[in-house]
Amino acid sequence: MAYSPLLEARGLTKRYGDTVALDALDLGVNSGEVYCLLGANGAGKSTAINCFLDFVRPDTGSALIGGSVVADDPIGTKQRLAYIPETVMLYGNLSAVENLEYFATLATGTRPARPDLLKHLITAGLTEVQADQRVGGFSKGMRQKVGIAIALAKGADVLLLDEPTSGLDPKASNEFHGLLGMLRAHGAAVLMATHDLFRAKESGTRVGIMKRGRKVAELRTDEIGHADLEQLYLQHMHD
Amino acid sequence: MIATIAAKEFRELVRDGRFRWAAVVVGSLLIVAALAGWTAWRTQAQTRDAAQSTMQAMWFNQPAKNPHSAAHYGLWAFKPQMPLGFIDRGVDPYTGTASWLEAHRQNEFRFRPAMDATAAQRFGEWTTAGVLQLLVPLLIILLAHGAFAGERERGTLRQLASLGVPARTLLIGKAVGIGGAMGLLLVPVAAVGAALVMRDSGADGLFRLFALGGVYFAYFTLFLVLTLFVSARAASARGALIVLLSLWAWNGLVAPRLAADMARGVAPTPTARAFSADVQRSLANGVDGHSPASTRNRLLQDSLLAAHGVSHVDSLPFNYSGYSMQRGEEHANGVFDHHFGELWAQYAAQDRAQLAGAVVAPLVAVRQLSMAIAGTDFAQHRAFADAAESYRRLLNKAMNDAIADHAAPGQGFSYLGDSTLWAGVGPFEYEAPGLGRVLVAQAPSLLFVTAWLFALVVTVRRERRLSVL
Amino acid sequence: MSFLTMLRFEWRVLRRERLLWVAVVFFGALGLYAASSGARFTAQQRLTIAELEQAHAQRRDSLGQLLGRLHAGDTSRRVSAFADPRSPAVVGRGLGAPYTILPPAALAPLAIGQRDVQPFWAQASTRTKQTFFVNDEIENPAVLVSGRLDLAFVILVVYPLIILALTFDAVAGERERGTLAIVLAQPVDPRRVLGAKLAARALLALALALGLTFVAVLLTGVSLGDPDTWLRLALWCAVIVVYGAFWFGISMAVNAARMSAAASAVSLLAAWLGVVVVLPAVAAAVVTVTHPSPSRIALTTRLREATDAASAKREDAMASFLLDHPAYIADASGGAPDPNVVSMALQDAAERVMAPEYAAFDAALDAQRDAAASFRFLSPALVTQAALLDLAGAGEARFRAYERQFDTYHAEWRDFFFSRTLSRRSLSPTDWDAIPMFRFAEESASALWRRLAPGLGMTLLLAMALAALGRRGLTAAAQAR
Ligand SMILES: Nc1ncnc2c1ncn2[C@@H]1O[C@H](COP(=O)(O)OP(=O)(O)OP(=O)(O)O)[C@@H](O)[C@H]1O
Ligand SMILES: [Mg+2]
Repeated sequence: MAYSPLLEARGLTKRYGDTVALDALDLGVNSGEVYCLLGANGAGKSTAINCFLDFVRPDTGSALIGGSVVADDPIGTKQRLAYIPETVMLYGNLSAVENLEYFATLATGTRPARPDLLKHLITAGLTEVQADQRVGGFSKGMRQKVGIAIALAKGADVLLLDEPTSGLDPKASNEFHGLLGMLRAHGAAVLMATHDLFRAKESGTRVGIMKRGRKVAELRTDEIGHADLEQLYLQHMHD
Repeated sequence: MIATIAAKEFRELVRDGRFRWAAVVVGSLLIVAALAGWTAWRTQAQTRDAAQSTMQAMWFNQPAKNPHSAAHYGLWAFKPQMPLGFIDRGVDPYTGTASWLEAHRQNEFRFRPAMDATAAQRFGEWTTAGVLQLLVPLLIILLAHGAFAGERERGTLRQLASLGVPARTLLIGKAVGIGGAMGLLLVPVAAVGAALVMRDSGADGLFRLFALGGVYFAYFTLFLVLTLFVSARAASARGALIVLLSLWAWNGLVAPRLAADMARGVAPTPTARAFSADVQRSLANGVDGHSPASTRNRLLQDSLLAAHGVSHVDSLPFNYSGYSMQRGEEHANGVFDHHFGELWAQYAAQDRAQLAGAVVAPLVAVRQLSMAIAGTDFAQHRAFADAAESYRRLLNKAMNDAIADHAAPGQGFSYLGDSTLWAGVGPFEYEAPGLGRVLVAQAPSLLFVTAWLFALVVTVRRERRLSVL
Repeated sequence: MSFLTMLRFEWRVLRRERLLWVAVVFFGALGLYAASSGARFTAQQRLTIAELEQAHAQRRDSLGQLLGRLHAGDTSRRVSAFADPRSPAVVGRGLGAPYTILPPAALAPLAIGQRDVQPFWAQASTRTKQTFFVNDEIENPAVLVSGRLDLAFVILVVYPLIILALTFDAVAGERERGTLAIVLAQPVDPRRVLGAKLAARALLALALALGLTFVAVLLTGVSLGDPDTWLRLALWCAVIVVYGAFWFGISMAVNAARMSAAASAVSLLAAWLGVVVVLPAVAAAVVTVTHPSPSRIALTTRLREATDAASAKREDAMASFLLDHPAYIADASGGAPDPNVVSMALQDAAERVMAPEYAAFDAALDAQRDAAASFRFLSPALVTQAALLDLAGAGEARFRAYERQFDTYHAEWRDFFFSRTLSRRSLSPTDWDAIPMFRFAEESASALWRRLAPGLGMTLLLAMALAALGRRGLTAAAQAR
C-alpha cells in the first residue's frame, strides 16, 4: 500500500509570544490508524489538533487532510473530518436528535431523515428515549456519544479527538473506545490527544510523545508493553 | 477584613481601563451638563430679574390714570430661577414662565420653554440631574455586575470562601470599594456644583445642594446594593448584566413614562377649551363690574340702598362703581379658586398616582425629591403661581378701593389715581418655600426611597448563603 | 446548506430561549402601550379640534343671523359695541373668528414629538401674533417631565436594545459554551454560519418592530384610504429597517471582535449609550449654548415698553399712521378719530418698533432649529428621530410650514379687516362669506423624501460599513476558540 496519510503535519510551528506551542511537528496518520498524542500539559497537543481544524493558523509548516493543505482550503478539508473535544458542547435547549440534525445538515448540506439520525445515535450508544431529550441535562459521556453520532452522520473518515475520554468513567471510556475501533475498522484515520497511557496502548496503533511542541518519540503500540510505555513516557518527561 | 476587600476592589477598579473610560465619559457629561445648564440658567435668571424689575417699574411709573385702567394695564409676573435650577430643571420647561396679572382674570402661565426647543433637544438634553439619575446607575451596573458573578466564573470566589470570608463581609467590602471608586468620580463634580452654587446663591443653595447630595447618595447606594445582590445571585456575569440592564431600563426609561401616562388616565384633565368655557360660564352667572344691568348687580344695589337708606347709588357714602367692581373681583376670585382648585386637585391626584410608580421604580421618587429640593417641582411652581395670584388680587383690590373711597359719586371712571396709589401696592415679592417645608411636603417620596433601601438591606441580610459554584 | 436553512435552525434554538420571550413580550407590550398612548393623545387633539370647529360653526351661524337681521334694519335688540358683527375691528379681533388648525397627520398616533408643547390651533385675530400664537393646552407639567411614551420613542430607544440583547452573544456565547468549535469543525463558511446566527436574531427584532407598527396602525384607527399614507407607512418601515441595519452592523462588528460575551455586552451597551445618549446630548448641549432659545420674557417686556411708548405719544402715532393711510383722512375729515383706528395706529406704532425684535426672535429660533437639524447627522438616533417624527407629521418641518402658512394667513386676515376698518365699511353678509379661512396645506411626498434621504442614506452607509467590518472580522472570530 502506498504511503498516503489521511492526516499529515509538515513542520508545523506555532509561537505565542515567547512560548513555542509547536516546534516543527511532523506526523502522519493513515487510514485505519489511531494515532495517540501524549505529552504533559502545555506540550502542544491541542494546538496541533487545532491546526488541522484551522482554529489555529501555524506560523510555518502546514497541516494536510487527504493531501489538501488545511489553511488553503479550510472548508473543503472539513468535509470529511469529525472533531470531538474534551466535552462535546451542544445546544442545551435542543434534543439530541435536533442537535444532530443541525450539525449533520451543516456538514452535509442536506437534511437527513429522522430514522437515519436515530440510527446514528443508537449506534453511538444512546437510547431512543434519550435521543429525544434535551441535551441540557446530558452527562459528559452522553454528549461524547452525540459527538460520535455527528461523525457517523457525516461519514467522517478523519477524526480529531482532544482528550475525548478524560473524566469518563471506565465503562463509558471503554464504550467510547469500542466505537473508535469500529470507526477505525471502517477505514478512519484518528488523531487523539490523551493523557491516558493505558487507553493509548489499548486502542491506539501508534503513539507520539510531545514535549514543548516537539515530537520526542514515536512508536507502534504493538511493539511495546504497558509498563514500558509508561517508563518511556516518564523518562521523556524527566529530561 | 472589610477594609482589605474594599481596598482590593478599589484598586482593581481604578486600574481597570473600562472604569477610567466610563468615568471620563460620565464625568465629562456631568460637568458639561452642569456648566451648560448653569450658563443657560444664569442668562435666564438675569433676563428674568431685569424683566421683572422693568415690569415693576412700569407699574410704578404709570402716568395718572383711572385706577381701573391701571388694573387692566396690570403687570407680568415672571417666574424666578431657583438656586439649583441648573442642576435639575424639573417642571420649569413645561410650566409657563410668565403670567399676566390683570383685572378680572386669573391667567394661566404662558411661554413654556419647551415650546421653543426642538424635538432633538428635548430628546438629547441632559441636565446634571438626568445624568445622575440615569447614567451614574448605569456606570454602577457596568462596574459592579461582575463583582460576584465574575469572581465565581474565574473561580476566585471559591478561594475566598475557602478562606472563610463571610458573604456579608465580602458584600460590604465590595460595596465600600466600588463606592469609593465612584466617589473619586463624583466628589469633584459635587465640588464644581458647590462652587457654582456658592457663587450665586450662598448658604441656602449649599444646604439644598447638601440635601440633594444625600438623596443621590441614597439612590446610588440602592443601585450598588442591588447590583451586588443580583451579581451574587446570578449564574454568570452575563446573566447578571442582562438582569441589571433590564432593571435599569425599566427604572429609568419605561416605568416613569408608564407611571406618568397612567396617572394621566387616573385623573384626566379637561381640554384648555373646555376649562375656559367652564370658567366663562361660571363668571357669566355673577357680577363682573362691567355689566351693571345684570341681576346680581341689581340685588347688590338694592341691598346697599336699603342698608344705607338712600335711593340712588350716587348717594352712597362711597363710589358705587369701585365698590361693585371689587365685589365683581371677589366673585371672579371665587370662580377661579373653584376651577383652578379643581384643576390642581386633578394634578395632585395625578402626582400621587405617578408617585405610586415608585413602588416599582425608585427613580420616580428620587426624581420627585430632586426636583423638590432644586425648587423646580410643581408644588413650588404652584407656590409661585399662588403668590402671583395673591398679588394680582391685592393690586385689583387696591385699585377698586381707591375708586370706591376717593371717586366722586358717579364719577368712578373719571377719577385718576397717581403714583402714590401705584406705589402703595408695593412691589411683587416672592419668597420660595424653605428647604424644611419642601422636605416635609416630600415625606411620601422620602418614605419611598427609605423603604426601598430598607427592603434591599433586609433582603441582602436574609441572604445567608453565597453560592460559590 | 442554504442560508434559509441556517436561519431556520437558528430560530429553533432561539425559540427555546427564555430571554427571547421575555424580550418579545416586553417589547410588544411596551410598543402597544406606547401606540395606545400616542393614539390617546391624538384623539384628544382631534377632540379639541372638533370642539373648536363646532363652536366656530355655532358662533358663526348665530352671528350670521344677527348680522342678517341688523343688515335688514332690525333694531329691536341692542347690540353691544364689543359684540357687533358689523364692525370689522371687532370681528377682526376675533369675534366669531375661525380657527387656524394644524390637524394631526394620518400617522400622528405613532409619534407625539413636540406636538404637546407647540400650538396646533389659534383663533384668527388682528392682534400681534406673538401675543396669542402659543399652546395653552392644559397638561400637568409633572407628567410632561417624564417624557411621552410613543411608538417613535420605543423604536428609537428600546428597539436597538432589543436587537443588542438578542445578538450580543451570538458568537461569544457559542464560543463560551463550546458549541462554536463543533459548528466550525463542519465544512461551512464560518462567516455564513455566524452571519446567519446574527441575522436570525436581528430579523426577529425587525419583524417585531414592523409588526408592532402594523398592529399600532390597525389598532389606532389610522385611515389607510390615502395613497400618501401608504407611502409614509412604507417610509416608516424603511426607517425601521435602516435603523435596525445600523444596529445590526454595530452588533456584527462587536461580535467579530472576539470578546467574551460579557465584554461584548458592555461594548454594545457603550455603543448604545454613545449613539442614543451621548451624541444627542452633545448635539443638544452645543445647540443650546451656541443657539440659545430667544427669551419670550424679554420679548414680552419689550412689547409692553413699545406699547407704552406708543400710547404716551398717541398723537404722534396717530399722525404717522394717517400719513401712511391717506385714504382714511379724506374720509374722516372733521370728526373725532374712530377709537378702533386709534388702537390700530397704536398697534402699528408698537409693531414698527417691535418688528426687528420679532424678526430677530424668529431668526434666532430658526437658526436654533437649523442647527439642531444639521447636528442630527451626528448620530443615527437623531436622524431616525427626525425621520420618524417627520413621517408621523410631528416633525419640525411640518410645524414650520404651519407657522409660515399661519403668517401668510394672518397678514391676509389683517388686511381684510384693517382695510374695512379704515374705509369705515361695516361688514355685510357678503363680507362675512368672504372672510378668509385657513386650511393647512400638507407638503408633498417628494419634499418629504428629499428631507429624509440624506439621513437615511448616511445611516445605511454606516450600517454597511459596520457590516463589512464585521464580515471581515467574523472569519477571525471563527478561528478563536
Ligand atoms: N491562545 C494562546 N495564547 C497564548 N499561548 C497559548 C495559546 N494557546 C496555547 N498556548 C500555549 O501553547 C502551549 C501549548 O498549549 P496546548 O493547549 O496545545 O497544550 P496541550 O498539550 O493541549 O496541553 P493540555 O494537556 O493541558 O491540554 C502552552 O504553553 C500554552 O500556554
Ligand atoms: Mg489540550
